[in-house]
Amino acid sequence: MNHNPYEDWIFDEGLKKEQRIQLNAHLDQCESCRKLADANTQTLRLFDKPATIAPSAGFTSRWVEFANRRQAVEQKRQVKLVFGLLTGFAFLSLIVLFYLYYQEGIPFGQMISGVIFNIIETIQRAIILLQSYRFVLTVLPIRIPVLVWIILGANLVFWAAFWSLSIMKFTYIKRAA
Amino acid sequence: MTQDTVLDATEFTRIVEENQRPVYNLCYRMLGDAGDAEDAAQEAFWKAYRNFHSYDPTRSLLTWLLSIAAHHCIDELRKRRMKTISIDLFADEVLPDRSDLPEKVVNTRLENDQIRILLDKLQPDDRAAIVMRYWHEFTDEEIGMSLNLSVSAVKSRLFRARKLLATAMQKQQMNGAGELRRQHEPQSV
Repeated sequence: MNHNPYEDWIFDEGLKKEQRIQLNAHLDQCESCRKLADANTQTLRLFDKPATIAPSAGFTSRWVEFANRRQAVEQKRQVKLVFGLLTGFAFLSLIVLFYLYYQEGIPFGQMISGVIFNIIETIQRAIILLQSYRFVLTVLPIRIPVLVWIILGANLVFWAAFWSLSIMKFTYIKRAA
Repeated sequence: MTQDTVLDATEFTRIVEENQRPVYNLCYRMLGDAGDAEDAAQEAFWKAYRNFHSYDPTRSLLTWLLSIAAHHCIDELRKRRMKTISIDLFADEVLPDRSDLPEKVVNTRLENDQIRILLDKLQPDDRAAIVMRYWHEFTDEEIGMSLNLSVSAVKSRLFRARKLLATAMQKQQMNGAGELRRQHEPQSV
């Protein structure tokens, strides 16, 4: 007996009414296809049961602990990453410095002292840069009188407006041309 | 809850509380083991918490959570290539119901084992599609959105899975119909 296309129709959920009638007629005659259809029905019936599986009590508190642990791990990973990057950068800088001194044919002792001097100088510059940054952000806004701020702001607005108008004018001229 | 909302841990804990059961259920059906399901569900909630900024509030929150859980379980299954798990692991996983008669408990366990054995036959993606369809009543479109598949691909996966499951069920009935039942029946002295 030819089981095509009935074997596939058994599992097709979008069958038309005519196809359904044809399939039922075939199932009445064909035992092999009927067994397959029964197996499909039994499987779907098994899946039709409501879900009785649930996590054991205290899932949410366990999740909170889990989330805290993961957060701590991620923070450690970030710190490690930043530290690794800084170390790598410092190591690379040292190699570059040694190479530059070597190129100039400077003796080893002088090279070492030069490298140390460069490192100290870089740190000092970084500290000065940080201090100036802090000064600009915290001290400057308090020291400068309000009137100066207003004049500076007005100037900024004037030049911004002037710049916008000139852009508009050029655009207009281009379009007109 | 809008996308711009800064979600604090307490608010997300409420989401975990409300959605733990369906998420755990999907993980359990996908992985077939209570311990693995717990780990997977916690990991899925963690991923959801970390990526909450990408949640589209026009979509159902549960659908989004289940989609994350399904992807995580698919990855886990691919990693572990999990095959058979001891039936003993399932002994205490059904919700205790004092009104249950011993026979009813045995039948529920039997059904759970049968489901696990059948689902084990499927590829991870197909298994996810079946679980979403029959336990979470997802439409083809929702399954497609969750698993990044087209609707036609979902239909073909579900068709293939149903065929495979029915064949497996037939074999189970022919070969070892009484095998599972015997393992759950009390030993006669």
